[in-house]
Amino acid sequence: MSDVAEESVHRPVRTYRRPLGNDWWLRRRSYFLYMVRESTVIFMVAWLVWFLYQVAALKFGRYEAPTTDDYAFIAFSVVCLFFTLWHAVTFLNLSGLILRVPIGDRFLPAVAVKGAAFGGLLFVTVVGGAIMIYLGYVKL
Amino acid sequence: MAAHEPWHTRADLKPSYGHSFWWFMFGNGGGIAAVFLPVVILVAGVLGPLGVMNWMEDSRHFAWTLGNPLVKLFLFVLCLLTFVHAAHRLRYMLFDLGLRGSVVVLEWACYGGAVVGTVVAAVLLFTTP
Amino acid sequence: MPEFVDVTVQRYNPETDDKPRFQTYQVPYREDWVVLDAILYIKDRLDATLSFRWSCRMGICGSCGMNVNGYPKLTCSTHLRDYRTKGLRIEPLSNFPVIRDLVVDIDDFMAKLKSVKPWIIRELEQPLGAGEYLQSTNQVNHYAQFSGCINCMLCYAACPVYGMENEFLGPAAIALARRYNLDSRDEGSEERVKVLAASEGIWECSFVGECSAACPKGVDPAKAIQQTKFDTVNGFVMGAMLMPFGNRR
Repeated sequence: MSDVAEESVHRPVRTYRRPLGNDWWLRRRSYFLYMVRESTVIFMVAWLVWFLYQVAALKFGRYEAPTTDDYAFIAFSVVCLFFTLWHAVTFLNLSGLILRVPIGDRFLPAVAVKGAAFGGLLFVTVVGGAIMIYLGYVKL
Repeated sequence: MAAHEPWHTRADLKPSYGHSFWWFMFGNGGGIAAVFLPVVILVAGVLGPLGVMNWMEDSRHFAWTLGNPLVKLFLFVLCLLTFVHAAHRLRYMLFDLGLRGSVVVLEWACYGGAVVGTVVAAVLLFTTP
Repeated sequence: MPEFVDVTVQRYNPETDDKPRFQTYQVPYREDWVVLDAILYIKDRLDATLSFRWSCRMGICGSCGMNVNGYPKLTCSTHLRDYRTKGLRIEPLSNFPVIRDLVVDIDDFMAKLKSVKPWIIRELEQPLGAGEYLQSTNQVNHYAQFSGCINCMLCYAACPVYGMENEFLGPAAIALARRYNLDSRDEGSEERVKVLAASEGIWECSFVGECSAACPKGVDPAKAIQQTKFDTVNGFVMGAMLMPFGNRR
């Protein structure tokens, strides 16, 4: 390439850059759902913090169990549970994408990995739930 | 983040072990939390107050349950993994929402918060009752 | 009575404009036209000063990417009939600096693409007498999906992380790196890991997934990135456990 041609090709041009802005996630439904998915961790942590607060209350002799009349707390738990499940579904849905289980020359189909992941969630919920409920009926 | 020369001319590129570690913890934490946390919230947060589950119904029961080392370990690991997972997501979420001034401060705050939370959880769970 | 569609196009002349402006044209509606046809009509009959890139007009060269009603698309593969009543707004591909009208500066992507060394890397080339490298169908299938990338950069336009942090290596570059890492003929994974696992490489991605949604070729770069993260970490863990004092092949 001749010097003149090179110069004309590489002459700086005043390009325009449009800034993305901090509200980008409000502009498309898919971006918004991404933000919701990310924010589910806040509810997960919030509930665990509440639980640890109860442990601390027990430790310092101030424990008061939540009862059926504690509507606010039950609503809080339901909301946290909803977002925890949102997290679980979106996270486990991706397990098939990321986890490649080699079988000889190929890989286990993504559907099988996803099935195993959700199967695990179901198993833990049913069996774990049963164990936890049983613990409450053990005579002390 | 500072602008660099074009990627293909950069000699300073090297793998980030820090990012790798936190992502590893985030990934595993997310999976474990996804599978184990829903049932804990369901049982202790909803079924408990409704009277179906009783191991938190009074101090004696709660203390008895928490006295079991397996229960302590399970809850501690759940807290650890959930806090680290949350820290990682929060770090990226806050960046997405515009906190891009100092990524280093953001990372220390998020991951540091997870470490603090985990230590508090350990102290509480392993010394109660 | 011939029907017309309103096509609003972003114009920018760096020599006269401080910032872009919009100009609306009336383009005849044809059932079988794509958006590129409308833009070509504008240049051909209405306004010869409009600048844009295009080439194959059949969805394989990757030149004609633009934002159509706010979403990155290949204009040669986007039908006018889908916008018959909505009206069309055409802007240059987002997240790239605009040189003029609908033409964006793609140097950044080119540099990133080159940095991942998207070619077969071998320690020792097989001598010609040894014949071809043999690959089973399964081995080809490992990387086939990621080889479909046409470098159209719609994924970069869709990625909010790239929009916020221009240093991010980006979906296509990572997907192409993975295409070569997964190729059984390739021996360059270690060389690419420096680039892929750098701070502004795969770790910037927070799995929004819009890159895969925007990809016109079904490459699924989001999948490529997450798999790369997983494999990279596995590689480090295995490396630390099996070869704790250094890296020997």
